[in-house]
Amino acid sequence: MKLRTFKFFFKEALRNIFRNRVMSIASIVAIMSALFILGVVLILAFNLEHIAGGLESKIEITVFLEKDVGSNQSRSIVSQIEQIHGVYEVEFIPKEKGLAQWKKELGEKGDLLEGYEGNNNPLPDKLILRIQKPEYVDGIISSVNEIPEVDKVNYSREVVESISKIVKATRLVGLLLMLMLIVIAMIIINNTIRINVYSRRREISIMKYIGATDSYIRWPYIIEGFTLGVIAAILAGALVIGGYNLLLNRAGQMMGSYSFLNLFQLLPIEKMIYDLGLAFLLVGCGVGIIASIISTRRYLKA
Amino acid sequence: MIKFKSVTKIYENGTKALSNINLTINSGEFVFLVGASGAGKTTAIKLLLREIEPTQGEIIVNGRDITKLKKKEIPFYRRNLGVVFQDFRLLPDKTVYENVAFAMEVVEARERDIRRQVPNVLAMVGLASKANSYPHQLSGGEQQRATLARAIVNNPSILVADEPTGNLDPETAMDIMRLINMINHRGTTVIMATHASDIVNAMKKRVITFRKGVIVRDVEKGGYIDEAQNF
Ligand SMILES: Nc1ncnc2c1ncn2[C@@H]1O[C@H](COP(=O)(O)OP(=O)(O)O)[C@@H](O)[C@H]1O
Ligand SMILES: [Mg+2]
Repeated sequence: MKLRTFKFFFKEALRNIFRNRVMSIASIVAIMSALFILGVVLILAFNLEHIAGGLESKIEITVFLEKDVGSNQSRSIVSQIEQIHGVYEVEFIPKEKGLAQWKKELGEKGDLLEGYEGNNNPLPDKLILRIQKPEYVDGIISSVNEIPEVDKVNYSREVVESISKIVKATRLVGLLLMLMLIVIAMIIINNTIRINVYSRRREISIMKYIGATDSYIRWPYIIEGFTLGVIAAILAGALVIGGYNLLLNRAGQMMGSYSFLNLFQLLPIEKMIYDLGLAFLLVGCGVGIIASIISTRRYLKA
Repeated sequence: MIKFKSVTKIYENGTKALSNINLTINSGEFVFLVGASGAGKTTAIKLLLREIEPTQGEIIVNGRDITKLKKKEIPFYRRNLGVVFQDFRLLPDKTVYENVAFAMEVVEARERDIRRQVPNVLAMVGLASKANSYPHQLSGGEQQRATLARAIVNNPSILVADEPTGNLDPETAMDIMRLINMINHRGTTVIMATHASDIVNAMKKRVITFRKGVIVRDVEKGGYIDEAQNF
């Protein structure tokens, strides 16, 4: 396409947008709403994943060995487990240390454990595994269980699993809501373009008599949809980022004095801004262009 | 060359607008399609423009059966045709110059060619001084000159006109006919539908008379014969 032709299309597109201001604004607001929901969903998901990630790194798998396993054998098991994919640290707690810890926990009543030292120690050797990612947990547990000297594996998965459930639910609800809004946006854009085509039907019929190709006639509408999408993406981006920064400030003030809440610290916007911007532009332009293509196909039939 | 071979057109509602039309028009000819209102003239022109398809038959234009054109090819086919209508169909928010230039922009002509060609045709149709006027500032005759300029600016091989003088007074109509004649003399085939007998009689061209969808008369250097007299 020649630059001049493109300029002509772009001018036509802007003219259409201004000529049907009300419908253009409605289209932009519709795309913006969808993008806003998308933004909220993404920010929630990013933050929940961030929190979940924080918790996961603290999640441990505890492995108890059979009681009759000797300490040399234990050490070889440790190095065996260290090789398992996804394990990034293994802490070995021999039964003597376990007993000492138990005693310490009992404090004054520690003498209750008197006489259990040495060969009378009732505790097994214990390993604490730290893992790289929660996806590896199941694999690690089954690998560990295959080791004959392993007696029992403990893993509390409730917290991680409930967070990942929340992430999934948020995504699902958000995406459904977003899809609904995208459909609404498409219907509004469809109407906008139909009105434009209708108000330009004379011009379009003349273009056809002169020998304009369908794509030549359609380009301005597709550029119009694209432009509406970009405007909506920019506005929605400003809204979401501005809103999130406000939230960060408030949260910062409120949490300042409670350091334990730091675990739940919100992600700084810089961590998400590129992903958000890209998602907004892609979805915004995509919705605009697809709606234009569908509606011009319908209303520009020869 | 234009050839209608056993062309029949029945509209969706069952109206038979043309039945079994056979017709040959050579390159460079000037042909009137005449007949009373409803005789089928506009239908023949729409078929030629490939705005509608015949129910039966073939329409050969410059060696191609245009009924077999793919949808994509239609715009390129139409670039061979200049079209003029009774109701001018100029774009109201564009000047005369812009209206004519638009026809070149649409076929993606070069800017340089547009700047050279548009003033040429405007001069040819006698509208050089009105280049910057808007359609509503022009008389009917001037508007039709502008549409003629637009129709020929891309040098089509065929000029198709459907009642081009229908909205003009007799004197202005004759001006337009002189212009169309001049275009014909430059080598463009002219096909003009009309029911204006005085014009047809004055021009002494080939006249094809339609009546209720059939050709009842086809004569060289003919005149307009009123149906009431002959049929
Ligand atoms: N789109 C249409 N649908 C149905 N009938 C039509 C249509 N256009 C024209 N006709 C009918 O076809 C016949 C020929 O019309 P037309 O070609 O317009 O005649 P003319 O141009 O000679 O006045 C008329 O009976 C007219 O009513
Ligand atoms: Mg007619």
